[in-house]
Order: sequence, then C-alpha cells, then structure tokens
Amino acid sequence: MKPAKQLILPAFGVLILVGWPLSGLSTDMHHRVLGMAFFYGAFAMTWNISALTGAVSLGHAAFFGLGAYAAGLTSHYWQISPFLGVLLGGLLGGVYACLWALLFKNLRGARFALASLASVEIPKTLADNWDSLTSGSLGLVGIQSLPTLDLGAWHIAWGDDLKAQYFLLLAFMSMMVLFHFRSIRSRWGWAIRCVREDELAAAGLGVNVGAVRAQALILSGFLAGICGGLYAHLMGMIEPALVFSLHLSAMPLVLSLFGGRYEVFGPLLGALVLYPIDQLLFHSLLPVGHAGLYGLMIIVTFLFFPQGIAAWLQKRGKSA
Amino acid sequence: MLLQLIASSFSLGSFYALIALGFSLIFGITRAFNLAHGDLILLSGYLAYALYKGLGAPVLLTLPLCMLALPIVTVVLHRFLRHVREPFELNTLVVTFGLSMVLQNAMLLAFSANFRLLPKADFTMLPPESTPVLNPGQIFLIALSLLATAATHVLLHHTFLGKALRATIQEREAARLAGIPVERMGVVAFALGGTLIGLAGPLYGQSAYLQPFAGPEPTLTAIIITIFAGVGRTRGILLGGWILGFVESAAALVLGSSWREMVAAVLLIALLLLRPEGLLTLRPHRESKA
Amino acid sequence: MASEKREICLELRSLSICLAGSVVLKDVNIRVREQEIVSIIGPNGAGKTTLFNIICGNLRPTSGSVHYRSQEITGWPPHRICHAGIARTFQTTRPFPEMTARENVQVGLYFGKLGAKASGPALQLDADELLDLVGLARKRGTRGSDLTLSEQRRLEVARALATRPQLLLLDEIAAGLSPQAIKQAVELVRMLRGRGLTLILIDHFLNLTARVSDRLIALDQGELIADGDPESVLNSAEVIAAYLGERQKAEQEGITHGA
Repeated sequence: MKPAKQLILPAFGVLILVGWPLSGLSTDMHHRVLGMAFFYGAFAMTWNISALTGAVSLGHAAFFGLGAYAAGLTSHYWQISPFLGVLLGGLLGGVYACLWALLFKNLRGARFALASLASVEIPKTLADNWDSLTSGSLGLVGIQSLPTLDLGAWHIAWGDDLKAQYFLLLAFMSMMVLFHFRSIRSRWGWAIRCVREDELAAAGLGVNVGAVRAQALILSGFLAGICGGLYAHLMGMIEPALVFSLHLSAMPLVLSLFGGRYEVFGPLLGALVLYPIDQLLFHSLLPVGHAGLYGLMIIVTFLFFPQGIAAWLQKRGKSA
Repeated sequence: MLLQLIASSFSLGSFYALIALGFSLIFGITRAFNLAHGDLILLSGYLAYALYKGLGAPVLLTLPLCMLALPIVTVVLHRFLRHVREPFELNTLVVTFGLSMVLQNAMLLAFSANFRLLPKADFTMLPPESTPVLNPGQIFLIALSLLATAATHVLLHHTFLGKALRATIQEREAARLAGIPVERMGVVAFALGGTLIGLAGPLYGQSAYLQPFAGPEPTLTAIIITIFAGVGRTRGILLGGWILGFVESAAALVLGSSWREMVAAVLLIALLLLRPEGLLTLRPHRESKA
Repeated sequence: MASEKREICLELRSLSICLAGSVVLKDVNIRVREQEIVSIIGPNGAGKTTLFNIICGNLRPTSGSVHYRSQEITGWPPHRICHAGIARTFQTTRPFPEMTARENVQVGLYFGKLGAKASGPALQLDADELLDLVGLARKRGTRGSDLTLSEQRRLEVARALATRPQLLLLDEIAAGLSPQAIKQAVELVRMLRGRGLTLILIDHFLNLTARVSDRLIALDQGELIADGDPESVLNSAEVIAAYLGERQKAEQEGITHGA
C-alpha cells in the first residue's frame, strides 16, 4: 500500500469520530461508551509500546494503579490541578517502570510475564494496608473531577459534559496513537522490531538492545501511569481492587491481541470493537461476569486469529 | 506459640505441595504454563460444593467424584493448548491467563461472589479436641496431601510409565527418539494433573473459603514452589511447600495476614531473578560449541 | 605476503574462558593484520565460535584481552563493537524471521557503523546492491524465515557488510555449499579483501580455507596448536592428529549408534 492510501482509512475514521457527535445524532450513552473505548484503546497502546520489544507484560495494572493513586492522593490532600496530578501519575508509573527495567533486564518471555504479574501485588498490598494514607481497601472518594475550561462564551466542562469528555478522550487517544506510531514507524521503531525478532542478531548489527528495551518499558510505564491518573479524575473514586485489578492488566493485552499487535491501529481497533460490544451487548445480557468476555477473546484470538483481526481481514481482503 | 506455628505451616505446606504437584507435572512434561491452575482448583472446590449442597452428597464422597471429573476438564484443555504456537511457554501462559478470567467470571455467575465453605469431613471416631496442636481437619488435609504426593512419587520413580514421564521431563527430544510417545505423555500429564487438582479442590473448600476470584493465589503458590524445587521433583516440591508454608505463616504472624500476597509476590520475583534455572527442565547445556 | 608490513587490526592476548565449569579456550594469542585473510580451523569443540563470541562481545573472557586497532575492546557490548567496525555472521543462522531479505539488510545499514564515510574504503552499497553481491537479488522480498539455510547464510553476509565493517568474521559460511557456490564465496572473500576489509573465517571442513587464506590458525580443545601459512599448518602433525582423532571418535560413535 502507498502511504497516501494508508492514510485514507484513518482519516475517514477520524472524520466519523469527530463528525458524529457534532451531528446531534448521538446520545450521552454513546459518548460515554465510545469515550471509554478511546481511553482503553489509549491504555492498550501504552502497553503495546513495551510489548513490541517482545516483553509481554501481565502487570500493567501496576503502572495504571500507581498513576491513579498518585493523582488521587495529590488531589485529595493538596487539591492540585488535575493535569499536574495526571503528570505526577505518569512520573510514578515511569519510576516503577525504571525499577522493572533494572531488575527484570535479564528476564524474557514467560519469566518476564510472571515477574510483571507478581509486581502488581506490591503496590496493591501497600495501597490496601497503608490505611492512614490511602484509606486502605475502602479507597479514595471525592477526587476532583476534570476542570471546566472557560473560553469566553464557551464553557467546556470536561468533568460533567459527556460530549466534552468524549472530545477530550479522543484527543488523548490521538496523542497515544502518535507515541504508538513512533514506536513502529521510526528508526527507534525499527530497533524495537529487531529486538523483538532476534536480540542477538540485533546487537551484532549495532542495535543497543538493553537501551531499547529499557526505553520502551519506561515510556510505556510513564504513559500507562498517565492513563491511571486520568482514570482517577474521570471516575472520581479509586480503590486498590479496582485500579490494580487483573482485569486492567488483561485489558490492553486482549485489545492488542485482538486488533493486531504489530499494527499501528491494532490496539485501538480492538478497543473500538470489543469495548462497545462488552458494554452495550454483554453488559445487558450478563450483568455479572461479563468481564469473562475478555478472557474468552484471548483464547479465541490466540487459537483462531494469531495475527489479530486486522491482519486477518487484510488477508481475506487480498484473497477475495 | 512456636509449636502452633510449626504445626500450621506443616499442614499449610503439605497442602501447598499438593497444589504445586499438578502444576509441576503438567509444566514439566508439556511446557504448558497453566495460569488457570488455581482457578481449576477453585472449580473443583465449587463442584464439590454443588454436589454437597445440591445433591446432598457426603463431603467425603465429593473427593473421588472431583478426582474423576477434573481430569476430563484438563484433558480437554490439553487438546486446545496443543494448537498453541511457539513460543509455547509464553503463549500458553497468555491463553490460560484468558482461561483464568473466563473461569473466574463463570464461577461468579454460577455461585455469586459470596464466600462458601465446605464442612469439614466428618470424623466421629476421633474425639473432638483430642490434640491441641492439629485439629482433625488439618490432620485429614495433611494425610491426604502427603498420600497424594507419595503416590505421585511412587508413580514417577517406580513404574514404567513414571520412567517415560521423567524421561520426557528431562530430555524431550531424546525421549521422542527413544520411542516414548511424547504427545501421549502430555495427555497423561494433564490427566494426572487434573486428578491432583480434583483432589485439591474439595480440600481447599474445607480449609479456606471458596470465592470466584481466589484462584490466582494458589496459582502463585504452585509457580513459586515449582521454581524453587525444579520441575517434577516430588521431594523438592514437598520441601518447598513446607518452607513456603512456614515463611507465609511466619510473615502472617509478624506482619499480619493482609501482607501475605505481597510476601508471595516478592518471593516469586526473587526466585525468578535468583534461580533462573528453576524453570528449566533440560539440564543446562554447554554454551556454544565451536 | 605484503601484509606482514601492515598495521595490526585485531590482537587477542592470552585469552582464556571457562563456560559451565569447563575450560573452552586456554591462553590463546592471535594477531591479525589489516587486509589479511585468516582462517581458524579445528575439530568440533575446539572453541572456534567461542572465539568469535568473545571478539564480538557476546561473551566476556575469564582472562586476557581483545584489542582492535590498538584500542582495548574487551567487555564492550556487542552493539558498540559493531559500531567500532567489526561484523559477524552466525554459525546457526539468525535472520530476522518476519522481515524480508531486503529489510534484514536495511537494518545493518540503519544501525551499523557510524560515520563510515569518513573512515575510508569500506563498502558503500545500498541494500539491493548488497543482496546482489551475495546472489540474493531475486529473493529480496522473501521473509527471513522462508529462505533456505544457504540463502540465510548469504543473507547474513550481506547484512554484516551493510554495517560497513573493517573486520568481518564469517562463521562456517561454506558449510554445505555446492562446489559452484564455494567458488563464488571464494571470489567474494577475495573481492572484499581487495576493498580493504580484513577477514577471519571459521572453516571446520576446510572447504574455503586452503584456497583463500593467507594464514591458518588451528585450535584443538581450546588451545592454539598451529599458526602459519596454509600448507605448513595443514601438514603439521598436531593438526593431522586433531582431525584424525575426531574422525576416529566419529567412527566409534557411528558404531555405537549402529548397535
């Protein structure tokens, strides 16, 4: 495909996503569900940045939860600006990712996945037991909602107006697309791909394998922390079992696997398809236990579409 | 106090060994990394609970029934996992991670999030409170765990099938060349593992509360002990179970039981970093031949 | 040879390494001059590939040092050694499996030696020219994992050349090649030397060596047993004994396997 042709579909997608709410045909429920689909798509992309180096993490809830608590606590105790809090969340996520990069630098494959899985328990247990700071398993409530932007006649209430929130999350997601795009289509992205396909050969050809892996992991942890911080302000309340959950660790994995891990728009596609199906269809059919859908999707994708649906659709399109 | 600690870590540890045994067998022989191990144990526990509550089956009878039912589940699981591609370890880990979520939500749907407990097996012949250190339930738990471990040990070390299984664990390719049907050994491993999971379930339900999302904890336990002991080593697994039982009991005593998960997580990370050979089934091969 | 007067390109000083408790290389001293073609020969287990792994930074020697152009590079990470101008191929081939042959070579061009233009006569070819050089022009769109073994070997040569090395280490590139292909390999090696490269070859089966090497170095069980012009090394008693010993061993193993 030529680059120009490659841009047609995304441009078309953006047009629809921007135009549809403006057309007045959408309801607040649509804004809410699609907005959260953007949010989880963004989170999935942050996960994928490190997964692209071959480091499949089952513990990104650690960064997410740390980010959420950094934003939640600073908001709770000092009422600092949510945007600053979100940034602090990213920093805390980044610091924890630095620890991973340092400690887990020799772990690969299943070992790395296990270590990442176990790493969630440490901040989770801390948040659960440090009652005086975090109010323990009861969680933090009353975190400030996102602020309202006053532009003369326009009041953009990101906190209350779901349409405004929709556009904020669309912009947030677009920012993550940019990061994700740079991790695939750039000199750095090539280095990441080399590391994923054969570390030893990559090193022999001049790729600084250790640095590439660490950079990707730290960037990924930082951005996942930002997602967590934003989540705290979106929801207004957090608790350890929610933000350090297995479900949050699994979510980016499922969405990326489903959409296609090596495609720029793969994780996002996964989110835009699966999250609405989950919320609009399964949530009403199965009020309890609908989260099992994500587990089921892992199994189905792995057994039947190992390259993700994007690649599968492309192949079908070509052969047809 | 110390006696109590040792007694409780002994009973906990013996049960941990039973939990780890099935995981270790399956992983050692097929390289399948079953992250749904704990959830399968919970499933077995809930099955026993359903038999007991729904059909009024005596608790003791649920044990053999679960031991017959779970192998069917695991052998079906094996049929699916065989189609997973390389890197097999990582990919089975991810698929069973998905299975774990499915099972958790299915159990949530079927049994709700309430805590369920199976009654202790009935021992009318034992006078109540006959021993101050171990209660009858604990003795029952220890006896069955040790019995199962011993039976597995005998099977692995003193039968022809066991020899084939151990050969498959140690040198998979060599075993294949020697005419051992490695694929069928995989089925055997999953069936055996399923039997052990089936046994562990009702025992779990008698000593701890059944809860749909409790599965990851026994999974973690199984992985820690497997890395510590090395794959398929029954005696090492027993020792590992006791040590882990002691460390967790002691940590619960000193720090409080709410820090238990963190202790287990730190132990796992430490083992992954310090004992990288713990997950190898092959003997460490010589580096780079010239 | 005129190379006697040239600068020293690579020097290994009393290199030893123990792996998994056994001594793999013992007190090995080697000097290679600029634009020399040196072959390392020896039976299985002699430590040839280990030597490459040490030079390229994949293994750290237990004692001794590696010097490249009068700079000590012992313990440098592999990518830094690549940037310094040393490239290698692997005995067990390691193409990037999901990349096309062309992309494989582009990786070398992209991440290899920096500022190569300033530093002299090394090859300045693009990916297609490099593929053409090793006879893979028609396979440029094939994925690395879909190439045959001998194609993967050639791809590795092209990929190594793409990093613009001054010193090229080729590990068993002639293994399993047809006589025709070996002739091409000989020409390629000569041509590269003509362009100013220094080459070290590993050649277990002596397919390539005798025809192109200025010098042979024989290793046996980690020790250097002969170093000199091809004829004298191939005729030395130690080398013959080492290879004969291997053949006998192979025959004995053949008998036990047959039984």
